[in-house]
Amino acid sequence: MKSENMSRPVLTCEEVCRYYKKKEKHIRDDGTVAKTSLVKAVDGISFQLAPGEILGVIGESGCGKSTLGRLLVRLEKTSSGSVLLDGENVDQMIRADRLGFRRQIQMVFQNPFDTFDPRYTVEKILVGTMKLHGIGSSAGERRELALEKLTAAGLLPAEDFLRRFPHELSGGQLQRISILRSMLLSPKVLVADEPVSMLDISIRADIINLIYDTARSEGAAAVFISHDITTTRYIADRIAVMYLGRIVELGTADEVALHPMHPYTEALISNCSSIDPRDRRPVIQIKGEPPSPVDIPPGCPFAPRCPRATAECSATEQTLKECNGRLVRCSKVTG
Amino acid sequence: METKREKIRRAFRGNPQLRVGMVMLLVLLVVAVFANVLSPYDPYKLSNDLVSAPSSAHLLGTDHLGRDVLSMLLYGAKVSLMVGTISALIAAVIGTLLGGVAGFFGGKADTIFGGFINVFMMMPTFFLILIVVALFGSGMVKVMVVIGLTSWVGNAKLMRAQALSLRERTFIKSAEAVGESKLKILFRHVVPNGIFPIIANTTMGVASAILTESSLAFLGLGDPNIISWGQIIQNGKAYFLSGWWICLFAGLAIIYTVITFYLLGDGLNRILSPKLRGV
Amino acid sequence: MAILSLHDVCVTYRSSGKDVHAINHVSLDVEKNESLGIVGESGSGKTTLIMAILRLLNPKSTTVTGQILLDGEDILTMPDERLSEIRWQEMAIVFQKAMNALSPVHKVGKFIGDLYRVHVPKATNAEIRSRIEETFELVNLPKRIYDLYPHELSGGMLQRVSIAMSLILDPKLLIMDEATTALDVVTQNQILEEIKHLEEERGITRIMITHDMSVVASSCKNVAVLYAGSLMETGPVEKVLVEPIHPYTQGLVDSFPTFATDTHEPLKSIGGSLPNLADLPKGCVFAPRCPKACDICFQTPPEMKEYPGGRRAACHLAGGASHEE
Repeated sequence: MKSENMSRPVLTCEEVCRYYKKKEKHIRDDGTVAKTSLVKAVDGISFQLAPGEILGVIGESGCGKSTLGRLLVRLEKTSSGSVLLDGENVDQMIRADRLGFRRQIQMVFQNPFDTFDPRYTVEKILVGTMKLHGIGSSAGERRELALEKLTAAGLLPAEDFLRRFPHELSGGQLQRISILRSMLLSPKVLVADEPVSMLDISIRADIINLIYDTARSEGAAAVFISHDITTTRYIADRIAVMYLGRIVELGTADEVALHPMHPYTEALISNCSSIDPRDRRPVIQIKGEPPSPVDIPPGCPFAPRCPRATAECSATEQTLKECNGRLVRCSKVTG
Repeated sequence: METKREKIRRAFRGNPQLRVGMVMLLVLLVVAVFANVLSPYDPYKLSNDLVSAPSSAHLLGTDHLGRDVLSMLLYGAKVSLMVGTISALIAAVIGTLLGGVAGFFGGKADTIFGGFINVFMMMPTFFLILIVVALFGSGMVKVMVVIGLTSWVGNAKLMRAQALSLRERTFIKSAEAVGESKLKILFRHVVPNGIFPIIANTTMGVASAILTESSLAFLGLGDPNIISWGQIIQNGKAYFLSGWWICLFAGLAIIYTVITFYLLGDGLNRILSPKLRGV
Repeated sequence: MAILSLHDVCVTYRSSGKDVHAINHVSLDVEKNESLGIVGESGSGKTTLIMAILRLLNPKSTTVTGQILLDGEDILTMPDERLSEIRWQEMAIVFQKAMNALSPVHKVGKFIGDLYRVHVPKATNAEIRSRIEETFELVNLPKRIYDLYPHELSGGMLQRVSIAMSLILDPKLLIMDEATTALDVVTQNQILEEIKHLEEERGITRIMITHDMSVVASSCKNVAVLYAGSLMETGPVEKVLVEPIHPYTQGLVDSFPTFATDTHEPLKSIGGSLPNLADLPKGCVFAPRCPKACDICFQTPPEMKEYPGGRRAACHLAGGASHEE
């Protein structure tokens, strides 16, 4: 479980940061107004992903998890720090061989309804991707492959689906096509950014199962980004909890979900409602609003809302330390 | 699911602008294409009936050289349509390219191209055309190109706005993630999805180009070798009171054509509602 | 006494030349001070039902039949002036995307004030201001929000403003349409707690539309399960969600992962998709997707029957007695 000891990680983040400058007025927590803002969307993320491992990244809106996802697939450039794919820096990879890089790491997006060009049929979408990457040696072969993949994903009759346009399909169907398109390229890493949050609860299970099965059968590692902790705990091997652009806890999925250590993780887990109305677990209330990554206070960014915070917390920078086989960013916990 | 035919039918229902516009356009097209069949006389043929009023021999009268006004108008339709369409198309292509690049790539590209668009917008284009034509001559091709090179700004602004908003859409990011190059994304996804307002704008641009060409001809800067409505008016200017039919009917022809394209453009704009996108 | 009573409500609209049956014979009673959660997949008709209750459906394209009684008055037949009165004063709604409910070019206070003045034209500026600030306090919003623009507020704050707006005229019935779905879990819980508190304090009855059953489980007294425009099951939350009678409810409950879900087993889901509302199946509307469906299910639509404990369900396979292990 200890990430540093794995053979060779397929994906590595080394102090990845992404900052934006915005000329935007905003209101600080203390009520004063600031004229420009430095948004620290991602602020020093480091982790290693083993081949075939599924890492869940959870956190609330504003924590930077979606930005992290985009940085991993190089849709955005890091402000500092590096992302390494199989040991190689992705910036260099993409400059040397853009298509080759794209084949290695793929993304499934949050909004399946907008993932495809509304003017393209499913056939054009799938065959287009194949053509771009030189998969299949003839139009006929590519079409056959598309039919095969659609069938395997449970989209039947496959012939029918090829002719459809995105607006004729449901969210679940579209997301399946998105997953299968990404997996066509046999990537080493699949980044799923909130893949089911826009889907109905009754069809989420199918998509989660598909992501899990496909990743496992192709031996791909995955980064599963979500705000839904129960689903993440189900699918992931390890979970990283993000708060204001930093990882505050990193450990195995069960450990983090069932025995959280960082005060933020504890509060988050306790706020997950159960579907059982008889469940009357106490919910830890965190005061204040969920933070925005603008003008982050010094010291521990969670201190203003933390039930266990003391003056010391806002004065000292917190670092990720090992504790009970896990990484936690809280001196109150790790000492 | 609605078939394409049903969709098109629905596009026309409740859209009288489009229907009327298309009928008027059809008339124009027929006239332009079959001018030589429909004209009672050869429009270049001079005769001795100088500035004669509309009669059974010459339905719309004759001009100062004895040429049949009706025949001239019919032949002039071809010129107007051609000049209008080609100029508008040139403007559409330039505008789409510049606006698309500025809006989609942003950053430095937007500073340069976007800035260029804004500067160009301030220019008095008609005077620019006048200068160019006065300096370089007034052949029809030159006129078309010059009009096209000066009226692209509206299209550029439209495309830039479209590109800016499309840039943030998931399917654009998804195309990038799958490996398509940015240039390919611009031409395969951004332009086709953002082109609709430009189509409507270009249609109206045809009307505008026809007016510009007529104005040039009226000012004596048009191509003297072809028959154009503006030119007919220019020639008929001297006989404004005595031969009123010359200017009047040519003027009406211009008005008719301008209305046609405005109606078409307006009708197309109404179809912009999202439900019908993708017809 | 039921504060809201629906009797055999049907909503049909025409689309592409066909009749689309969005709501079919829904009869439902909402008791005073007993919050109700309406759950179902997207497309089940939850929002259509609410729109029908508020009489916001376009009369030219939609037909609504049946009765919708608010405290005994039929909303569907009441004159327009009365409808304008009761809207917002007796019945208010909070929508999902709060920021879309507010005008971006007006300060929050001004916008709400204008709204207030529509219903209470004689109110003075001072009265309005103090009433708004009072309501802000109820939902834990700082007073200074009055002078801010919507884009200066966070999502949670905006949602609270939406709620404040709905409470300002002291309605009896508060309808929340996916009002907390766009919020993070922590803010969602905070807001739900505040609302529950307000309900008790002010005698408000809440109807919550959501596809997230955990919200219903933790904050509602009763639940109604809607599928393809028909009611499948209703009853108290601790009975329906713990021991569902209807297979659809069971399917919904099963597809919810918990911390105890076995990670080695695939997650359960309800296969298939919603039927075409223009072409509903002959028998039970859920039969094509129901794992327990048998012949009669495909032939005859089941009737809504009463079960012990204040429960109702429409299923041929449920026994007459209460559903036991």
